[in-house]
Amino acid sequence: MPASPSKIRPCFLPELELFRPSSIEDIFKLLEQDVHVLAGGTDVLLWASQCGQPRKLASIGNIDALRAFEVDGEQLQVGANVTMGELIRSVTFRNAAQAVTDGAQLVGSLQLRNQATLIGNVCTASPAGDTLPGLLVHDAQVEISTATGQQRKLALDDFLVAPGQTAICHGELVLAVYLDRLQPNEASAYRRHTEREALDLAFASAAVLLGFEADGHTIASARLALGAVGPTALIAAEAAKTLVGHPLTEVKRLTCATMAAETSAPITDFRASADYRRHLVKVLVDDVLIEAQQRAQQSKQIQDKPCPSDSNR
Amino acid sequence: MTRIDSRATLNIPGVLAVLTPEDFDGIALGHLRADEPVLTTVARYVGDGVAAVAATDRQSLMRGIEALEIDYEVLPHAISIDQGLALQTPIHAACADNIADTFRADRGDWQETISKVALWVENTFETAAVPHAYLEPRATLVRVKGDHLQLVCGSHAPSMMADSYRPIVSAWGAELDVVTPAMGGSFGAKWEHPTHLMCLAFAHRLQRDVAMVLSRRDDMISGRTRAAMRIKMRIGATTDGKLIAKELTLLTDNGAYSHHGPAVHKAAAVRADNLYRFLAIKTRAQLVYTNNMPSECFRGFGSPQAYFAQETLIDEIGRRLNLDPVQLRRDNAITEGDTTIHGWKIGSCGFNECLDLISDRIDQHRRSKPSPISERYRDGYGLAASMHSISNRGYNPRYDKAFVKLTVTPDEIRISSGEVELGCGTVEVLLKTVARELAIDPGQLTVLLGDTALGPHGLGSFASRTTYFMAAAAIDACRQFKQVCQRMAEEFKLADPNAVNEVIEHARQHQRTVELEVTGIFEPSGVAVPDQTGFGNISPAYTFGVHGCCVRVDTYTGKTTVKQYWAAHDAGKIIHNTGARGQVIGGVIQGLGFALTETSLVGDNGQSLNPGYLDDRVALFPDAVPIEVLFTSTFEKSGPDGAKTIAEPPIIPVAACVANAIYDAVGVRLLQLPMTPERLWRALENNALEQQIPLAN
Repeated sequence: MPASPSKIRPCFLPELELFRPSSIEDIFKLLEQDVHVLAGGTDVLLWASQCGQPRKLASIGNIDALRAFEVDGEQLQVGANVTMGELIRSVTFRNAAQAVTDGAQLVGSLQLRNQATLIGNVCTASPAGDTLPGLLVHDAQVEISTATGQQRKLALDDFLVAPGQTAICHGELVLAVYLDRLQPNEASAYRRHTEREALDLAFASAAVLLGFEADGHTIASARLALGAVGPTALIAAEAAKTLVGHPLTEVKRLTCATMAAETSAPITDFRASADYRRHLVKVLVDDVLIEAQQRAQQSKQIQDKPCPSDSNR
Repeated sequence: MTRIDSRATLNIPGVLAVLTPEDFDGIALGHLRADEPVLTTVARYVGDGVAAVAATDRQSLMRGIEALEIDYEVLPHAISIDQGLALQTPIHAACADNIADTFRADRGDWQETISKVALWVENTFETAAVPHAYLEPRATLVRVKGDHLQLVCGSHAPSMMADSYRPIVSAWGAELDVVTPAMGGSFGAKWEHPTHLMCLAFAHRLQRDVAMVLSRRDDMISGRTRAAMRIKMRIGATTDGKLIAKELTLLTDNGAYSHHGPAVHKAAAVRADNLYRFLAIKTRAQLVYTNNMPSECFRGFGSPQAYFAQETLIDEIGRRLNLDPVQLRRDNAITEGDTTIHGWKIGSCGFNECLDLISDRIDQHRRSKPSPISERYRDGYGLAASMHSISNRGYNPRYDKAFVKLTVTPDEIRISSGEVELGCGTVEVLLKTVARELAIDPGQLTVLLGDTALGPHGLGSFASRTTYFMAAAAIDACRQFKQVCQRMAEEFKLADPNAVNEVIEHARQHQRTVELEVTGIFEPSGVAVPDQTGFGNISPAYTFGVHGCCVRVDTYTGKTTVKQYWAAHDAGKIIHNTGARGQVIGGVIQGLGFALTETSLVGDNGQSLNPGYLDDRVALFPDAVPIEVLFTSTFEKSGPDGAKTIAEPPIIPVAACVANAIYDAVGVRLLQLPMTPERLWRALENNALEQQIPLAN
């Protein structure tokens, strides 16, 4: 039986054409010509060297309008040029979006975090993207602009379509992500499971945002999201709903974690089996519930705490 | 490969030449079993070369490769030991049963001995294929000067490499030298490789310099791995804890080509036996061809695999007989003056000192940090022992010795050697040894290594031999040098006959430095080429190591975290303390990758599933754990300044040490490496059923 040789993959970075526009208008002109957006480049350059595509890149690094990083309003705004490192180093952001910071701190390595952008993590749309479950529980909205300047906001859940696929259309650009800041009596957390301490991808991950009643115990609101156990990072709304109106007892945590595991849709591949991933969801959901509750209880202290230095992963 | 047509490739501008299998007819690589073609019409594993293209630039090169017309016919193939044994079609026509090598060893009176066995422990262990993760991907440069070819590449053994390639290039009418620049650790991987001959052939044909640099991904497909093994082992003990009988059935995945596979599986089969006073041994080993990446020697030479099984079983014997694991090993270990069951003659032996050091550390830690009582997290302590040889007699007699040359030039005293520096401290050891022996400032010394045109013959830096052999040759060179200096001092009528520096100055002034050139030689005494059954004293001295660790197991996820690690080694007297400690720390971390995370995975068709360090989880800096490095006070009379060696030993006991600690923590024995969280989680789920070591007999 004759078999055709597998497609030859170049093993080095091909020659690239790089554009460095300094205005939004210029970048839209480039996007019309099938030029790929380059932010931190930690994914794009990998694709170029592994798949030979894309070869035409438009860096957005010179566009100051995309550098917006607003952390004082009710909605936090993170522009397309803001790196994970910038997020992590902002004490205000950390306290306002704990689960997102947890995820950003786990991405790749120190060098990668100083280069990679949050929006890049969003647009790559990996099911295992470490910031995505956190953004989902913080009700993130993705702001998209067309060449004609029409802007729309899409819920992140709608933006993430499939592995590596988003709802962005040809010629469009993501300008920023908006997310809800934590209210008093709210806390969020993100955890993942990996085998290695750095430069590893989540086998499974979970994020939660809990709001507590004035009594400090009864759960007023809950949002739960999972990573690496479906085609995209996904919201586990039904599981979260089981928590509302009750104190966070062990039984409640278990019910929620079990339901989250059941609603997850992991695959079996060479990294892990589906049933192990489903089991991990249970463990991780329980972990983030405990973590979020502890944070809510200590929220006063957390707000006063200085920013821990970025660990040297 | 049923058809290859390179005409379209040759028409592409920038393409210089194409090589196909017929350009290398009759040439095969492999020291022990020459079975690897340079380019092949039968691709036996996914990284096998079927054609090579040379071009002036990368773009032309890629276009040239894409333009090759190749048809394949898929043959039956094997990607596991079992499939290799079952495969009806041989992977190599010359080897009908797919068994590249068979080995057996019987010692003592088996029937008599097993009649005294009161307790057998037995199990079957599996270890994974692991790429070496050497610091630089494979890269080759060939420089052409007429008919002289200079091959520049990473190599453990440039002299041996030149010996392999010279007959081939001399058939082309060319001469060859090999140069190995200082390089990072290669851990046993960098030997003869088809890419070298492709570059040599291109360079000779095109009469221009040629380079070939593999990407990490390509290197992890066409490179080499630690041999995966299936180790069925049982150890028999008496009621009072004497280890008297050991039976081993070893199956080794050779991969598609042999390289050092035949030697590695023999070493895995016999070496670990020597640590204890077994009365009888029954060993059967088969080396099985598969369509996986070729295996190659890798730090430890089969011992990390063998000790994983042996030290796990001995841990189990201690538990069954309620004996302290330290005392059990002390009571059974060989010691100075012993001849082991395979004929190893034990000189200095710091094994008991290693045991004491580790036992103290574990006891202290246990007392000072009592394990927290938690349903989820369980702490456990483990230890494992090991020994190792220095080099291995059994190569061509041409490689028994080590040579170090001293040359006085107008500006320096040059030390040259055929060994290489691959992060193992070769340069530092030479500088320290010569400076000490000649009582001169090391600032006057320079070191030239790994150039077959300029340096003396050398076996190379591997088999934990460099310090012991090369430093001894350096001491001999210094002894000769001082003799010449004394003679010249008398002739120059110098007041101090031992004034090396003054003699050198006079020799330089009188243009007589050539008389000062000496070549030191070291040849170990008392070593023998082992017989067919592996009997014989293969090494002039032996090293010992005992490791201990404290792990924490997350029983919910199955993840093991090493909280503290202790590594005690008898490496003789330490010559280069920083280097020796670095070797231990590196060996332990590398061993933790082997134990917990690393594996090279292949799909059903033999394709590599994880050719990169994202999914082949070699341990990284953040995975480094606190390691306390301990050395014994041993002095080895036969060694240079009392030294033995440290290179390979630190990786050998790691997997067993961690496995024993996991058992201590959660009562589960993992029999398959790597001991990933998923495997441990599954084992915890099935704890009561499969994982307990069954009692045989």
